[in-house]
Amino acid sequence: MSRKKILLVDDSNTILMMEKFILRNGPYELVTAGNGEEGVRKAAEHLPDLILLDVIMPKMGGFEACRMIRAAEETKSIPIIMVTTRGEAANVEAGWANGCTDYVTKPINAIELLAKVRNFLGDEVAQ
Amino acid sequence: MSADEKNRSYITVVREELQQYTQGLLRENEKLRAMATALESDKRRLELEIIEARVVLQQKEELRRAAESFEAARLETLMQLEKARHDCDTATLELERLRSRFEDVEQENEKFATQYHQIEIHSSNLSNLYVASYQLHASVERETVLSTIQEIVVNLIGSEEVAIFEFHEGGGEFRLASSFGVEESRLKNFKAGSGPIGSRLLSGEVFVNDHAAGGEDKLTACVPLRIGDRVTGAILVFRLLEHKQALQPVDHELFELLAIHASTALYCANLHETTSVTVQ
Repeated sequence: MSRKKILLVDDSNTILMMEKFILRNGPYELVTAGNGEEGVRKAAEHLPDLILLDVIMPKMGGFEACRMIRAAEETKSIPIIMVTTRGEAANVEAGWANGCTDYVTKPINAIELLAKVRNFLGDEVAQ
Repeated sequence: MSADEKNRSYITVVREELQQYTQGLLRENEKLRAMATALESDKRRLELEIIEARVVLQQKEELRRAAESFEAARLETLMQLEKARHDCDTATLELERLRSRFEDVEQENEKFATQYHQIEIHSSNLSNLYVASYQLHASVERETVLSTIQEIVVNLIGSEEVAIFEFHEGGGEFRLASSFGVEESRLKNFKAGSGPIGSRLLSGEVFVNDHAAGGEDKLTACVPLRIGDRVTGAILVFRLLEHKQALQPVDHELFELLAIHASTALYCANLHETTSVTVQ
């Protein structure tokens, strides 16, 4: 039996640590990346079950990373939750347009994030 | 009349009488025979009636037994009914008890759910504080510490307008060390005790505008960086993110944490920088 895998992509160590804290008790294996470019690479390498993707990052932003993940055959169907400080409609629309599945806003609400992750992955351990 | 004639006459009379008597006897006999036949017939009829009466009696006996059986069954049914009524009463009482228990358990469940939710919030808040504290002390590089303070304000408090000032003993003023999302022209150095911010910092207390709402261009918080009684700097937090409706209790905790931990982290980073320069 293997645990479901989540790729956390954010240039902020604070956010990465926060996300790890929130998800640490779930049946998930966590993989991290510090920018969009590394995120795209690790998505292809690890084929996670879910990706949490920051919007503004060095080297490659979240929207571009999202497009590249969607463009690759092996990663195109992985659900992507954008993590953004901007909850305005225009930014949310941009997220949808670039292929994200859902979004959460910063500051991250632990209960909301867990609910969304469970919605995509459930609580159970993957077979 | 001679004796002979007399005898003949007597005989004739006797004969006639005998004949009459015989005929009478025959008639009587016939009558008796008829009577015997009738009696025989009556006897057979009576025997049949007796048989019928016996059958009726037997049926009556059977009916009596059946009636007794039905009566016993009725009594048994009545007893069962009474028992069923009793069981029903007991079950109703048990049902009431279970309903009451279920309501209690439901209330208890709601109470636990509320407690669980509160614990989740508490745990999340503690995580925020732990992460902030951990990250502040994760490096002794000045730029990293300044960047971490900004990250905490942006990602954990929810403002993309933040400025960090440090107090310079020589000039007796607070000078801008780092900022994010605010035009630097708005961030002028200021003297301790002068102006609204300088005056607030003198008290060493964290100032929080509890009425700050997302998107308003106002000072949300002024966090003095303290080491002991000394104010070594300040973090100014301006506009909250649009979707952040109001500050939460954990934000106040974060401001208090920043007041102590950001100052010591920054102090250590400055010390490290000075030491490094001296060594080099």
